[in-house]
Amino acid sequence: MTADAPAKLEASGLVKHFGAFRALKGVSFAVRDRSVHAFIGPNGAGKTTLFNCLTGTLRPSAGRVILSGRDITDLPPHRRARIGMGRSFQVTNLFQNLTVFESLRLAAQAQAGIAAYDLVRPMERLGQAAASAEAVLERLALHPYRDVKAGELSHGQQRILEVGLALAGSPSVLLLDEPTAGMGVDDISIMKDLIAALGREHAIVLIEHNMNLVLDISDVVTVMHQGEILVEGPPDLVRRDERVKVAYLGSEG
Amino acid sequence: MRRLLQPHVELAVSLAAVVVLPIVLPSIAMATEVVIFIIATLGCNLLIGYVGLMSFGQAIFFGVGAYACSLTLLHSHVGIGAGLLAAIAASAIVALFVGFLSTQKRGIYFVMLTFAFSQMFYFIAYAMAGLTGGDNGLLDIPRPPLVLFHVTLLSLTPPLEMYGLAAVVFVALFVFLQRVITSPFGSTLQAIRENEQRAIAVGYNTRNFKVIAFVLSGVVTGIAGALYALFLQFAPLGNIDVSMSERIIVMSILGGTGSLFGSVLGGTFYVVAGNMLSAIWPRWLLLLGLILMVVGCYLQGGLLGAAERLARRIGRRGPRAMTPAASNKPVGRP
Repeated sequence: MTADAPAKLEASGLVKHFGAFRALKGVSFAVRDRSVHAFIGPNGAGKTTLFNCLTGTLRPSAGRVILSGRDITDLPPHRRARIGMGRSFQVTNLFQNLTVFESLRLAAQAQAGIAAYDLVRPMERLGQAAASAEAVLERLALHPYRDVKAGELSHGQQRILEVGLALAGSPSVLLLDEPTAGMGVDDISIMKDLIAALGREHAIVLIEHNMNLVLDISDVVTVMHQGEILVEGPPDLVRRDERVKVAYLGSEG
Repeated sequence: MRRLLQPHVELAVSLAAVVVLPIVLPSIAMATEVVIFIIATLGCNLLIGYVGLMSFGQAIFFGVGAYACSLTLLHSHVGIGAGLLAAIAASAIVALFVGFLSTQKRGIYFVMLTFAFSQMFYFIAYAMAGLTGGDNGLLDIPRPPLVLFHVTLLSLTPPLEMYGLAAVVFVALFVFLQRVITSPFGSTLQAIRENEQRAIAVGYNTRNFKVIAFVLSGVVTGIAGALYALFLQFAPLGNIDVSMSERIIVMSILGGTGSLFGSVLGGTFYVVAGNMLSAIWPRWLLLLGLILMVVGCYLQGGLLGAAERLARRIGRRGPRAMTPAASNKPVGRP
């Protein structure tokens, strides 16, 4: 949380065109280790495009993405996941017919590299994957639902498992895309505490519409507007900023 | 869903089936055909049931396996083992080629690509009549005895010995595939079936997994093709026709995907019903169409799914009527 903590994830001059439309117009930032860095902004500000460029779902038209000092701009999503980037999805995106434990075990097993291609020995042999899955179960308090299918969980539990799948591969950077989407009030406070706790161990990129949550738990807030960074700073600064008020009221109010 | 049979029970029932089939069926030849098509169905089941890939290309591997084994035995004096190895190598290479190109696309485009390759390989086999015999197929394929270290294990002349060879290969492949689906690799295939996008996001190169599964499936189906050529001592062009793909897919879906044992049911039902019905009525495929409609509308999960539902219903009535396997706690099958 200190200002001089090293940057785990950096973006420099990210540009993304869709035809003539410029969704990102040169976005640069650095996410420090052990911090929560939130991106907010009105609809169409470019948050989702930015998120997709960071996770590798989209290739930026220009600019670089650096993870732990390594240029990952050209790496496909699965390679990014293998070198410490975990991501969750805005729309719950689980292994519906697999149990909670098996889902987490599979997410952890992806880190086993060539051993994941083992054809003939039992999967239980990869004890590391099972141990990681158990640890995530415990951490997210999902152990009562260990043997329940992901598709049969409540929405709130599914949102938690969504984060769990991102966490199971022991990432250094976590990218969370609207983790509270569609959650009830009680569940939101659980998620809020969880993200705050994870932020003490990881570098977290958070895209979130819930303004109170963002201002409460973020270390840095980046306000985006029309594909550019409007304001960046600690929550207090952002809360008082006149330009932020105008951007929100002007486009949505 | 709870699984009716645990893996070791499935294996035991499959072993029992192998012993019983030649006794209860009207001929050993029919039992041999049953076992060969069960093997082909196992290969297809791996793709449909465990990866969620619907391939119309299975005839390619069935045909290539049959041709490779036949040509090896026709043009050299090597043993039957070499013929089977040639089938494995040829079907693996062709499956790698077809799988590598087809898995570039997903969903219906994948299906269309496998369909297109199936047509293409059919016409290649048809056009290369010098090698494949074209429309006439390959005739008079020798069936040398199975010899290991100068000891003749099976002469393969009596029908029961040919059946024995097919049965041993079937059991070996069944055990192998059981291990595959409970391996890290197999569990990853199921993740891909459930949600490929998520499997990528957690770090799997899903394309590699799909290509390897495709090759495994092709090899298993190719072995079935080789056994079929040995059994008939004839390798017809029909082996590589897209209608063979259809037949294999129908057996898989009829039996039930998602469990290897479904293939045993599907292959047995199709071959036995086909042989018996065609004796009564040459247009029996019309009836098969009706059966498929019933499966599609009311029995999703196929014969295996129906058996599981029945067992559960009986189990609800009285715990004593429940099979021992069904009362055990569910295994880790997703």
